[in-house]
Amino acid sequence: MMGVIRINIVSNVLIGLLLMLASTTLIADGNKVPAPKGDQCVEDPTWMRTNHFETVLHQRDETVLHGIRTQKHSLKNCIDCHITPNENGEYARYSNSEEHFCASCHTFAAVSVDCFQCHADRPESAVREAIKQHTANGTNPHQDMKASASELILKSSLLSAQSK
Amino acid sequence: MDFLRYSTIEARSSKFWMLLIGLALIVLIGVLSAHHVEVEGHVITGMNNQIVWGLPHVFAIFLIVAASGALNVASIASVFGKVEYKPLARLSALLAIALLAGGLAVLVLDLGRPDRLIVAMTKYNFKSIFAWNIILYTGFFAIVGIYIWSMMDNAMQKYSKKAGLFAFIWRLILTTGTGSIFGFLVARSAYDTAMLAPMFIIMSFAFGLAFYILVLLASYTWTQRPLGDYVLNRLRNLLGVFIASILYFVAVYHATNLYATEHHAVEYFLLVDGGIYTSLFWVGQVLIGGIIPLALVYMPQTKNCRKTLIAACAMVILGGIAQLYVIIVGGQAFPLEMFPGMEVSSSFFDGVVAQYYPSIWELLLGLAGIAIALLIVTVGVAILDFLPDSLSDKIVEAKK
Amino acid sequence: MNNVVTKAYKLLRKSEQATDTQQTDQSKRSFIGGLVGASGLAVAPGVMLYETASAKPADQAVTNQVRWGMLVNVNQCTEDCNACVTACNDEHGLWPEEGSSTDSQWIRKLTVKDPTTENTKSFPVMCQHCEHPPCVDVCPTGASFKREDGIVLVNMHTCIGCRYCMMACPYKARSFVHEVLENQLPSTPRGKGCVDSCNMCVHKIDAGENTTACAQACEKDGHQAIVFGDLNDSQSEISKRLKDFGGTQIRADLGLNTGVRYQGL
Ligand code: SF4
Ligand code: SF4
Repeated sequence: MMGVIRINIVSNVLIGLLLMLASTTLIADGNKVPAPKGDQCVEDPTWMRTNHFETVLHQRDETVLHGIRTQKHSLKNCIDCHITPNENGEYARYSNSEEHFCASCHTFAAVSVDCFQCHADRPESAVREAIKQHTANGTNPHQDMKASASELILKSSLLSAQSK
Repeated sequence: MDFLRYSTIEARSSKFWMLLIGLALIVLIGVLSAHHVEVEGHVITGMNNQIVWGLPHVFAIFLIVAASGALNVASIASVFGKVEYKPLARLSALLAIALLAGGLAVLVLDLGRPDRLIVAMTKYNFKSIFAWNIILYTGFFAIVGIYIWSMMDNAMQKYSKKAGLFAFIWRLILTTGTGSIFGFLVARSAYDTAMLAPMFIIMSFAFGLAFYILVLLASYTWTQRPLGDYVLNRLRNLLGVFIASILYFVAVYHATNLYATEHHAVEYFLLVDGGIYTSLFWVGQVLIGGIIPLALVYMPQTKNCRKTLIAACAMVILGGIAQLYVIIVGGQAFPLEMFPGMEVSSSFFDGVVAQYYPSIWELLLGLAGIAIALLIVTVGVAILDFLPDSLSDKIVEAKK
Repeated sequence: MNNVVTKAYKLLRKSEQATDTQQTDQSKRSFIGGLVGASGLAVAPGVMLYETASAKPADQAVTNQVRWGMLVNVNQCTEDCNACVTACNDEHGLWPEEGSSTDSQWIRKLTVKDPTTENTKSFPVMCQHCEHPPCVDVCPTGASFKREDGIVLVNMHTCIGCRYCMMACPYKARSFVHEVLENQLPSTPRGKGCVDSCNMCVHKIDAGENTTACAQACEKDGHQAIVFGDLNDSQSEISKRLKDFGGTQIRADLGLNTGVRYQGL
């Protein structure tokens, strides 16, 4: 359904190849994605690379419709583990396709998801920190985007151009 | 020669292309503004948490209601056996499909998540009248499509009458379904009335016919095909009857509401104290949409005058939009009565009349809906035999 | 015609209600049978006004053995207090700007004045978690739904943003997200183009906390005007209070059997 793109087996294989390629190129490039927290993913990483959207999608309906909130396959759990601060202690946002774990691969594989229009793209502590800053500045935490969505898209592409 | 022949219109003229490009531009602008709203969010429209349905819905519902009414002319020929309407039937069916497509496009483009249209098509909640309407609308396209086919293909001709009857029944259900969208809103005083569904049917007769007459006149004048007064006067009289019926139903609607004490407040709001809604009701709906066109239609001096007929049709359309604005937006502007008889206030605009200032984006989207309908008609008459070569009095009367 | 529709609708509601009550009774009995020792007993007033014992394991689906609800004691709610609203906004990451007609408000304080007696009451109104929710009935895609435990939610993965539910809700409980949002909290995902409303702090309930942010805040402020609990459990604080003092529904005439009730209205 929406949000996550359903892909059949053939394209699954293709995507798998692409992702393998992605991980190698990223490593060759000097991967800017900070290392995840633990040392073991909840599933086999190769399997996860091609199938994580199935597990997340499944868990999504279980959680929303039936209140099942096991940690293992929850998006929150993925984020908590995979989105870690860089050496400056900053958490990458999804708009940062070089440092954000999810974005780095999605951008490479040209997959567009809308998960992070609603879901937090970093752990709760990081969100709380951002909120605290807004409160201190007397600005609305929703406000970053309140300026103008198109302006923001422009800004983020300018930023990524600069960082290159 | 006095026999009826249909043909496509001359599509090579520069006038035709100008019309086509003009309409396509309006559609494009509307789609772009819908896209703009999707990117920025509905915050740039006038709609808010109090007025959740605004101008786009006024246009969309107007077009959907008019769509089923546009089929009337065909129904009069096939269901009620008035052969002199038969030459008009094909265009009537085409216009019905076109108007429905325009209305639905507006409705869909205004969704918060138009990208999820596929969800609306695949996940049905059968308790929802909205979901039923999706089925009714899809069915309407199919049935009217078959009806057109049966009229155009000689081999299918024998089914034409049955298809016409079926389409007629379907359209009545469809309009009832559209009216019931509001009927299920039990908590909103403006919609809690027995009159809304029948009123929607009568409204559809008038709006659809007004559109039909305008399209007929335009296509015959611009292609220089003969169009006799006989046809027009028939349609003119019919329009008059429909306008009068709307006025009657509106009167009964408000009169019955005035019987029910719990509806006095909302009636007072709409009829006396509602600011823009009151003016739209009296000036837009009653005067421009009712009394003046009625006079234009029935005044002996204007018999055979096409200009006044055009004016009357345009006024019926404007009045219709005003009427739906009063029903849809006015009905929401009046505060929801959670505690009847009490004075209520909150940070969420409880107990106060909601404010709504439509934005340019909404207007552009709504106009695009009309343009989509006209575009479909224009392309339709250019590629298929929808229009009789001549609708001169001689031809039509020969039919009788 | 519409009246006919309305009447048919109300009739339908009534018949559904009748069967539902039977079911509820049955499930209540078995529930009490199994859990009587575990369900939260009346604790010293002010210490704990919510259930403690019916937490479910994280891997199990919610069931209709419980029906969560809230009882608002209007007499204990003061006009100048806004603690529940603030707590809700903090809990769910809602930051409505003052005077904005487009920002989401899941809970709001209503001031209701009787013009003849000048008597004024102030109390919070949120989604009433109707047993027969009109929002669910009208939603074309089924995105509005009622969980087995009575909580009414929007599945934002299938909501198309048509706003029909907002038209149908008799309590103005729902908001439409009118713009791109930033800094949403992980526990309350919400975003542009979808409708949202009070979710009875479903993440807290699923975590076994069995309370809501508003009830907690009200208690902390010393008003204790909101009691959260299981309406199916006759031993719960909320059921007992309802039994002793009764509880009014707003617009009870609509027959929606709301999960949020008011005492002293
Ligand atoms: S109060 Fe409104 S939003 Fe909540 S369940 Fe009832 S109808 Fe739905
Ligand atoms: S806005 Fe979303 S939840 Fe509400 S009726 Fe439409 S699809 Fe359903």
